[in-house]
Amino acid sequence: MHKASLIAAILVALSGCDFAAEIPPEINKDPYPSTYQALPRTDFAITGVTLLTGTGQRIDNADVLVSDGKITKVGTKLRIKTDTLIDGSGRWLTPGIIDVHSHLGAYPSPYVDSHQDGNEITGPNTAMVWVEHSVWPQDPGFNRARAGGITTLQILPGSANLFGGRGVTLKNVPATTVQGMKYPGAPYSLKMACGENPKRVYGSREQAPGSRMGNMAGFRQAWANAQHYRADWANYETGLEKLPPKRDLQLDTLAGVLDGEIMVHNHCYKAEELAMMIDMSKEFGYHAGTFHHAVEAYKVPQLLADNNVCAAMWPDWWGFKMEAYDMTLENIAIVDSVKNGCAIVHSDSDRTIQRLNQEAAKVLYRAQGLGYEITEADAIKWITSNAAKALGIGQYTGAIEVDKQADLVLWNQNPFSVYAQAEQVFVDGAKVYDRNDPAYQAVSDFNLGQSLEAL
Amino acid sequence: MITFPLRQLCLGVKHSALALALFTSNLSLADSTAIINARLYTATTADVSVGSVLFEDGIITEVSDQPLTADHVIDAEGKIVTPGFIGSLNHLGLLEVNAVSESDDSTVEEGDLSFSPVTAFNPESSAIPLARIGGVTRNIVTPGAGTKAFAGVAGNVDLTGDLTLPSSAASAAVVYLWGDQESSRARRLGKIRAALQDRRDNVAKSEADNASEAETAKKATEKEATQNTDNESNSQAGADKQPETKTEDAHSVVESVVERHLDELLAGTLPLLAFCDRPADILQLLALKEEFGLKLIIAGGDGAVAVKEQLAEAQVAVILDALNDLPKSFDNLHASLNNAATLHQAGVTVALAVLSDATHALYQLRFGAGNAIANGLPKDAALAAISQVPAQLFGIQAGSIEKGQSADLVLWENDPFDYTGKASTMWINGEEQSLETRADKLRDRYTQPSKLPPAYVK
Repeated sequence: MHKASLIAAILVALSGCDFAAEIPPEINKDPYPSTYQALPRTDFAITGVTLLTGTGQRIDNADVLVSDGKITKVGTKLRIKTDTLIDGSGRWLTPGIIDVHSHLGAYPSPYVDSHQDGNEITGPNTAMVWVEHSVWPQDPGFNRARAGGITTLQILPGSANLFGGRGVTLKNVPATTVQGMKYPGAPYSLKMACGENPKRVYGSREQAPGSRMGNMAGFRQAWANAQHYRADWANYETGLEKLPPKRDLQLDTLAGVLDGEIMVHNHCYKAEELAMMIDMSKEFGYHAGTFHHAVEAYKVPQLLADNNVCAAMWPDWWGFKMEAYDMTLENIAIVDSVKNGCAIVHSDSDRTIQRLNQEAAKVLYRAQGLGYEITEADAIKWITSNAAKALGIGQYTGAIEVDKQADLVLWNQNPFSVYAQAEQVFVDGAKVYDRNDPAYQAVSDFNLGQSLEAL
Repeated sequence: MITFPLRQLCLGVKHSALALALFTSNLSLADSTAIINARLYTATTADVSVGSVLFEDGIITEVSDQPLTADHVIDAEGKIVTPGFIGSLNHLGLLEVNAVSESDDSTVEEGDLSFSPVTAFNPESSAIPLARIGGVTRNIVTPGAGTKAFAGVAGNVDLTGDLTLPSSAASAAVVYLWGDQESSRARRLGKIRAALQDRRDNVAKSEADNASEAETAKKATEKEATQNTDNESNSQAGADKQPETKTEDAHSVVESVVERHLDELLAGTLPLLAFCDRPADILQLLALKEEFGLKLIIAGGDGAVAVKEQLAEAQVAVILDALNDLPKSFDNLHASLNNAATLHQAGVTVALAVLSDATHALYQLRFGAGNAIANGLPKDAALAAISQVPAQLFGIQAGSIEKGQSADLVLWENDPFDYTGKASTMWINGEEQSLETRADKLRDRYTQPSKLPPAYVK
């Protein structure tokens, strides 16, 4: 939004205005751009596979053709001419699995003090920090997650703050730099946190917020400040002010949310707080985004659907604090069962990110047993297309459809079985993992040369 | 009512047949029950593809490949029956909400062998019914790591949720031998060794003293007795001495518990349960076992695979989390999803536990077993790893479908290790258990149609 007006300002400066020296440089909204490139790849087809499309469909004995990293044909009994044929018989094919909530790289393994880079716990509003500046690409957890079928993941800052900073969406490919993993075209996100964490962390320091109402006041004042900042920029852009406002990295991020360029990802457990956050988004004119860890989403599923927000949930993580006490094992199924409900299974864990398929399975079969009309074809959406939608990358990935990026997982059986294993994983049509071929099993620098050179 | 105190009394006695008989007769459970037409996963060497299990007075009385008759007959219609699973290495019933410190009785900074957190066990914890739906019928509650050499002692409980006194018997002495930010693991190990050595020396000295004291006493029979101020000895001779000050008395009670447990460790009757991951540290523990004749169990054991032959040779079991596969510290560089299978193949006895979010996630024990199977552990070994093996390690008369064992049984819909599996009926000590959880009540409250707000749906 600021770019054109800045150029105008520079032109004014060049024309001989005497405050030229004070004009700030152009604001670059993508200063750490993605350098991601797909790994070496060939065209291929997977034939005779049980296909879950990620759009709610199951196609048995399906063929999927991949050319130039994209899905080019999906159907049955296709006439296929391609470089490589992969026999999919007895196997299942799903879109690449997407985790909307990870701290890999920012809280990596080994989990030692020197690596604790996931949360700037120095103030309740740290909207100015960007978690990509903390991500260590050598975290062995990325490789482990890939072996579990994770092709895309969002790294978020921690939840000690009301505003934790910007998150970043990554392609799960081995790279030496974070830029080499950044998902081209994915929007930035803003991590917010309701409830116990911010008030505990700062309240215990005799600092605001010290209560839930303090949390809300902190959010609201920050949004009000962002509105003001945005108005200052607008005044500058329309020429009402000659100089742009002083740049504020914290407000840049919040204004980006108000502009609809940055998506909100909000750690928020409890029903009454979910409702408050939705109202607050209306008060200040932004979209409430996606609620993470929404342990009590089942208490307000209609409210979530009516406001077009997604809920990212665990199947069964509970009891570690009061706001996680009212767990029910059908939370995800209940959110999913409402018309326009958007249910996502997330991990927030370097362990369960390796098995998001199993996390979804915990819900799928229990809910089926209770009469919920959910199939494997529906449940896969919780970890593919719904997750892609929440990250703003649904146009690129999360489904097996013509023209989508070929992010794929070939499973040795029904992925919702405890015995299922990802055999081959593809990102943009390039094989990034093969269970049966060590040549496609990346090993982190950290593990290299250790007594066990594990993934 | 007389039932209640009797019940308490009975359960205070660990698994004695008399106790169970008293207990069950008061509850009119003398009727026999047979589950017939079941696929029995027995957790012994012989599974029964179609057969029956009969139980009476809380005890399994017969297992057969034929239909059996009983007062109550349950037709399993070919479904799977397993022993109840046995959890360990967690704080179930000692911890309701982690962040609510007053609901946590699992851990003390200054732990020692007199700390037995099972005496704080709360059968009413809402985590217990959730563990039951995972097929878990018993559990070894384990103290968390403090700063001292010994964290405390573990105890075993059943998951009936009944308000009865748990057994106060110690199931294991617990130590944590991990990398330590404050100190060196060598210091911790040294203190464990010193405690064992001192006790062994003191007992030897005390026995020698007793012998010589008896001789002296004999010689002194004609003289007037003088007050013995030696407060070092806890021998029987010491019991006859003059009462000491109150503080010293309290001290000596604690000390005598500690000493009793050290004696049990030295006698090999109380296992030393050592949380330890690094192969080099496991070797140190094996040396300690050898030196003092300990019954050693390794908990965690990410690095056990690197010393698997030594563990197999020493017949030391490893309790591990089948899903630990990250190098979370420099102790865990060997963590791998294959470890359970690798150890089993090398002849090491493997038990499985849930180590991540151990208390609230205990119900997932069977999924850990399923993942271990997916990564190469044979199915029988996976079943035994969550039933028969922990029972045997901690001296519990349960964990397998065999005559004489506690009738802790679970009837399953589908595969108990997979997500389609669901516990449909559970018995502990022959009593049928509720499989409803607080989570179910919450679900129903918010999904059942009601004209009134959900608060009225109960």
